[in-house]
Amino acid sequence: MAVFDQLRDIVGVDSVSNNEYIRYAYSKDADAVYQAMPDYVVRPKSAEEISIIMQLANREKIPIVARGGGAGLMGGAIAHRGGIILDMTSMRKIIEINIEDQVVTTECGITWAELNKELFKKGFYTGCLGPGSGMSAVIGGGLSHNSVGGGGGAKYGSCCRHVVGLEVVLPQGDIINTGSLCSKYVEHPFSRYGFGADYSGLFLGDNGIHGIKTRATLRIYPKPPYYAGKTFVLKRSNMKYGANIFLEWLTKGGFGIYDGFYFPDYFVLAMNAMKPPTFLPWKELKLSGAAVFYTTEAFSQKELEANVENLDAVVVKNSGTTLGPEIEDGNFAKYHYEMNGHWSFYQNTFGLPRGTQSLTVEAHCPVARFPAVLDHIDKWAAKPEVSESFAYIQKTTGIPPGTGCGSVGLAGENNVELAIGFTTAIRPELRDLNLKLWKDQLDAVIKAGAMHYMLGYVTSRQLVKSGAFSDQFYNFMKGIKKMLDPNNILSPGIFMFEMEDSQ
Amino acid sequence: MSKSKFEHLEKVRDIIEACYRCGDCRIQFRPAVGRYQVCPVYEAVPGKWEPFFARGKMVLANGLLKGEIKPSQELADMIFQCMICGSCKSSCNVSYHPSLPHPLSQIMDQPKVWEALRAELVRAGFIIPKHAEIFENCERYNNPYAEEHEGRISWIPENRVFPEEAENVLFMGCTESYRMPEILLNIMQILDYAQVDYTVLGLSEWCCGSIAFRTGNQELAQRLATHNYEGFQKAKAIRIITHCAGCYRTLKLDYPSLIQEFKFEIVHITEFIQDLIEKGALKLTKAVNKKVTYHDPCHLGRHMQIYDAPRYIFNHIPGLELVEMQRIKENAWCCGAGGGVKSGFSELALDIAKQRIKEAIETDAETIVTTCPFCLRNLEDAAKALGSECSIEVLDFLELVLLALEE
Repeated sequence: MAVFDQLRDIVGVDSVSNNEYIRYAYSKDADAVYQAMPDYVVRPKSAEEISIIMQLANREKIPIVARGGGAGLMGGAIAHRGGIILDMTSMRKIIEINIEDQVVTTECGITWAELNKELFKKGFYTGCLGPGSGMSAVIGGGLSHNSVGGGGGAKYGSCCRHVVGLEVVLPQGDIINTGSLCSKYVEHPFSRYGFGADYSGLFLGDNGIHGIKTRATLRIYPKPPYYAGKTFVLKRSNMKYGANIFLEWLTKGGFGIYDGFYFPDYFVLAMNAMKPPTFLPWKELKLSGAAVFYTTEAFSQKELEANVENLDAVVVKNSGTTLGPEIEDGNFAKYHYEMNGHWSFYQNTFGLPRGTQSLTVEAHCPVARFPAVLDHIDKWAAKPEVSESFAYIQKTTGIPPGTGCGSVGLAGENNVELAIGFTTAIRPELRDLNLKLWKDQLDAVIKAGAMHYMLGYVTSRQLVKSGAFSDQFYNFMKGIKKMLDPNNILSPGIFMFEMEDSQ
Repeated sequence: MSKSKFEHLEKVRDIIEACYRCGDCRIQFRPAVGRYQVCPVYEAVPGKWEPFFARGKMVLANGLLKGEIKPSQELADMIFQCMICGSCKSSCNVSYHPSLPHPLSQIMDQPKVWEALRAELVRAGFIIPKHAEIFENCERYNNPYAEEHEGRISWIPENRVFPEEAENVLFMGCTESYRMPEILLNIMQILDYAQVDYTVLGLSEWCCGSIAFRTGNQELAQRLATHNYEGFQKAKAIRIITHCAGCYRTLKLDYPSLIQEFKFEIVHITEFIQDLIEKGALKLTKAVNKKVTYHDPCHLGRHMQIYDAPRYIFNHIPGLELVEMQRIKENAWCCGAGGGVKSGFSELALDIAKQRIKEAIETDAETIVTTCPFCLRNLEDAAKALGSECSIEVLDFLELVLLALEE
């Protein structure tokens, strides 16, 4: 029987397509460079359906790529080798919100925003609200990328930390539960550890290569009813003041900080230079220094006031001046939290200026090291071959590429998330040059000792090409992949596990 | 960069290439600003594939420009399953605060792209069969309903004679003239009450062309627009009043883009009535003890930003209680009728309208009111289809105005 007919028998006629236009529409994700057509697109409704599809794919040696919101920036949701795209967005049921045990179990095709909308109603949230694209990004994608940046990074870190257990369809079709649910005597998930190794971890940050996450149980947290957000401008542009502020906040216990961001002075200037300016009050204030903002949460007004006093004192000590309390006064923090803008913040920094898109090389590093990492990236930008390439792009398109760090956000574990990347004109004739520059900048970040998290296609391969892994470690990774997925059907190409690629 | 053969798409290339496929047009939940989901079609169709919401359509438009895919009937069948309600536009790159004007939000205009896509498909001969019938009807009868042209004025009472010229021209609209003449009689009663000097074009009025604009027949749209323009000139009109939200959008936005000299003031009947109330020419003094909810028509709301005039009127009707649905104004859920969906994909239109009726029922209102005959018709159809599940009546807002009018 033809593959299409087999897929139709598994999921039903409405949930599989080999239509040219539908396949074409799935040939792109949110990265600006890669494009590849799948042979089939399938919208599974259950782990059982995925299990049978996996068995079919192994029989027929067909690659499978799971795709959630398609919001990934690294080419991870594209069928680079053809085959099947599994569009997971039909699986968006919330299975159980268990207030007593403070966990939620949900299908992984639901967006972070939709899940949190339901949790907010009960006074809870997932803490880390997932990736910066959490309005459209789904739970499965966030966990595959160990994402952060959608809100709550300073207090809760990245989203994988909050996983209590997973239901995963393995590449050969077995369906397993990790965490406490791996014991058949446990009825409700309550803990990630205790029955052996952290097997959930195999599937977290795995970029979709070890299995397909169909359900996740996440820790949930009471959403504190009190919050405050403040924004500051720093007199001194040296980034060490930004790092000092973050370090002192964290060293003194955090003061309920939910999010903390530092915007380098050049990014503030760039925001103000846009037409229209990105944030009008900053333009009107002629803000020219670096900016810092925080949001803090508390369970009482008294606690909140103490948090604010302590957080403010640290910023003022490091040359900061408070902007006014309202959004119109330049208080970006108020917008970030109050307008539920967690997820729109990142999206808004893409596509600036008009006619361009960003090729991101976002990475984490310890707070104390971020000025050094960004200095390394500045040096990359100053390399003659990079300057010449940028000049060529400007000459041929009239659009000057820009590079640097958009924001530095606290991301848990004493780390920051560096929104590094470069903005460039996207033209078919510039594809190869843009791709070369992108990989080159990834290489620079890797060699600066920073750590990427959302790897997808481009970064996972660059890590191998840049020699980031020792032979022993890479063999260990390959061994696990080989054991789970002997036919290499799941997201092939990621980490270059095929022999011909990895040499 | 080489140009494609697609003239209409070339005009919107900037918009197509500016989309960076974040996917916020697929689904959004942003309670702080009342945004619950984005695309009514995506939520309603059984196969929720990418081409059934904005991002997928943008990728396809780009594919046409790059020559990687070709127009076909199959493509048309996907692209035309969209009301062009503009919800994708209002949720794209919008930071929901006036202090954060995203540069892309200044240029992103998805409805323009959908119309260009449709124009290319129609030009290539790929038309939805029902739309082809409508085009033929408009050519032959000057209306989409295949009604004899003379029927356009059959609603006018025998003893009523309209002047040949007037400052105000009431644009009757096809749906009102041929399907809902009571709306025109209600308008007449209200304008007469307020002693407004106005006329109608009578048999000189043709279809405004909204359906042709939205479904890709630019040539037909141009002919209809030119004809009506001449009629307005002949009547020495200064102001044109419409009841139909589709006519309003077309006259106000599309006509000036085709006819440079088109300088008439286009006013929706809700704006006109608001003005009459403010001037004291219309006194709404009788109590209307009803609990109502209001459906924002897309062509009036998202397309033209008229949200306040209807609500102003409701707030000036004594006894009337307005309870809002969860999704209103720029976040309103489309009724499902526009963009040729009612004619081309009637089941889809009905399914979407049922969702809106159910949302209205959740408010506990007795009545859902709207200000567009096309929405009215589709919502009525949905209410009927829901049968005993439907506990709400559907009304044109003029009914409420008349009930409140001082004797």
